[in-house]
Amino acid sequence: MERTIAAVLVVMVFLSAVAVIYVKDLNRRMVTDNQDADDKWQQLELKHSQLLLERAALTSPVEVQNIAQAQLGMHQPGPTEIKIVYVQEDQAN
Amino acid sequence: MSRKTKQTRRPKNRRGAQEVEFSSTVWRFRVVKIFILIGFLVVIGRLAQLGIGQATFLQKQSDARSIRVIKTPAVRGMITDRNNQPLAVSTVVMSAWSNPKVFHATRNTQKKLIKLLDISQKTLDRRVIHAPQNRQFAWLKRSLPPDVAYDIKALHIPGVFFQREYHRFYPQGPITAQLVGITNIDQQGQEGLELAYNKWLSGVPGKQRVIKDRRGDVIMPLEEIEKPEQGQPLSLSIDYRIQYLSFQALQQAVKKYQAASGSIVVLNPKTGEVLAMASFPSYNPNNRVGRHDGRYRNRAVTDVFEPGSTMKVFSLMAGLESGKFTPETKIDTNPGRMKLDGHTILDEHVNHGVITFSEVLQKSSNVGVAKVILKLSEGKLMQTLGRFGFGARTQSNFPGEASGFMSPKSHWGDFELATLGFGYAITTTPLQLAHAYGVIANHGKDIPVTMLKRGNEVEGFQTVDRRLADQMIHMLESVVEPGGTGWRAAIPGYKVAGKTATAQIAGNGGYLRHSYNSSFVGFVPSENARLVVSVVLNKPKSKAYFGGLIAAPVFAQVARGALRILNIPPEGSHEVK
Repeated sequence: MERTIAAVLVVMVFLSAVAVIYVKDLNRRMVTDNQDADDKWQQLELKHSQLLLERAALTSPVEVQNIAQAQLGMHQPGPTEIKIVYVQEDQAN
Repeated sequence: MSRKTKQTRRPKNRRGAQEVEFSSTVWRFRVVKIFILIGFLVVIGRLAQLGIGQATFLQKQSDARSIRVIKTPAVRGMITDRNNQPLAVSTVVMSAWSNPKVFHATRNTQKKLIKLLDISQKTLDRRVIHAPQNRQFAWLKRSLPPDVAYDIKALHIPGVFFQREYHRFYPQGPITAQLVGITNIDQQGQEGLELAYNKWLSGVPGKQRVIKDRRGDVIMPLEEIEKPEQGQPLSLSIDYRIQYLSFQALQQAVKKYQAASGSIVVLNPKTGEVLAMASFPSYNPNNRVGRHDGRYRNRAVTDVFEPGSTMKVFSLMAGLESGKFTPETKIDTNPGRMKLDGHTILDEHVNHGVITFSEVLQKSSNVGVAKVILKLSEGKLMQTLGRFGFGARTQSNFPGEASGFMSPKSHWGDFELATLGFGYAITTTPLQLAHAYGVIANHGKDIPVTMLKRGNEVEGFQTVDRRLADQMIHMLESVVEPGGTGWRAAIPGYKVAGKTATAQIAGNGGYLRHSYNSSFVGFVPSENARLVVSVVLNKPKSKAYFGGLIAAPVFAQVARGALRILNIPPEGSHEVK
């Protein structure tokens, strides 16, 4: 009886040792995956901030005014050049 | 026998010798075995001692040399205007550093390195090559664009490392410079709203445990101890289109009238939101060079000045509140001058004669205001000014905001009181003025100002009687009508209410000649105001310096543009033209 218990315990010790190794390995893989995902997040974040800045630069009023005036020959409408047009709601929709 | 004995003895002797030989070999062998065994035992004992007895200590020592906790930076939140236009954005940069002890590069590689880093050979020599013996850290250059860092990495120079950092960019540059403020190289807010909301914006860096090699490179991440708490985005009340418009108009005016500086505030009186706040001269927050001078101040909030005639509105408001005056009350300003306590009060060399209470404001008569003030009960004027927020900071939360000065003394001489009535002996900021006019524009309801976008409308506080505020609105309309001092602020299609001011600047030993603060504060459309604009031009050197001449047109320019941007239709006709 005692022998059986001892045998079972030995097997269990062995299994738990293997499990420890397995979990450790799994942990390492997941840390690596996490790191990869982090790197990817960082790259995307960098790209995002760069695109934001680019959009901000392109849509900045200074830029828009430059293009409108220099390239398209537009100018700020004076008070006499502005006409208010009221659109009825059913027409607008 | 003896032979036999001899014979037997000899072999016996030989065997004995053999036995002796054998036994000595065995003995030696045993000794060697014992030594080996002892050797093994010593090794095993030592192993056990190290592995069991000192395991914890040694493990600690090993970890101390290889396991490091590093900070993972949190991204600083973006600052945007009310329409999500970015005003301050953090982006990733690489900072290069070196361990001079490990650094090794040929002359040729060094040349490539300094070219990429954009530093001189001298700097490299000083920081790295001839660095003090014990130094193990030296910045090479901070805030490099990631692609440059990539090129440097490709050189594979031992002892050159990179740290990932963030750098703050301000896409609107000088237009929002003083308002948004700046951070230092470590991403901590130093000025402006970057400073005011630093905690909200910056977040909390995370912690990560990693294994590093001898040279300091991360070999393997072990675990994330704390996730970084990313910074929160901040949505301002500013509309960058109006901000641009204001800045541009201000810049033009400051240059045209050779003013020392100028500031402008655009406020929504219904919500208390600041739509634009600009100061000129300005600076480029992305490339700060030169002295840290007045250009860095957000003058609309930090600079106080004696407002002059724009204050008459509140003096006359006190008059209306006293019940002793109505807009039609006649006031005799003859002969356009008045002596008080040995000082003379003048109406700019014009005698307005007998005019109504309303015309006192329209013509900006000093004598008229003085006469009204002197009929008020003691303390009435101060009490009214206090209710409009003068002498106390607004709730803008802007760092370095000035409260302005209002003398706390209880008894005032007649002359002092009169001068207070037309805006001297009191200082205020352009923002305070805009806020105070906002109270009138909002029919007497005080809404606290904010620089952050408000989701819902704020419950205001009825500071002034609605009927009196409406009377004042009509009086202010007359200032901008033909015959008023502020007619240049008129905008076709809209009713404008406002007041001009040209206040002398005090210097050492009295008020300076030809040194003025010229301003205009007004709101539009007057009966249902959506915008309050306050314009201040400091020390214009041009021949034209009157507020009505130089500040009122700036008001008109900004307000007209802002009305168009906000899609506020002209009053009156609703026909299609």
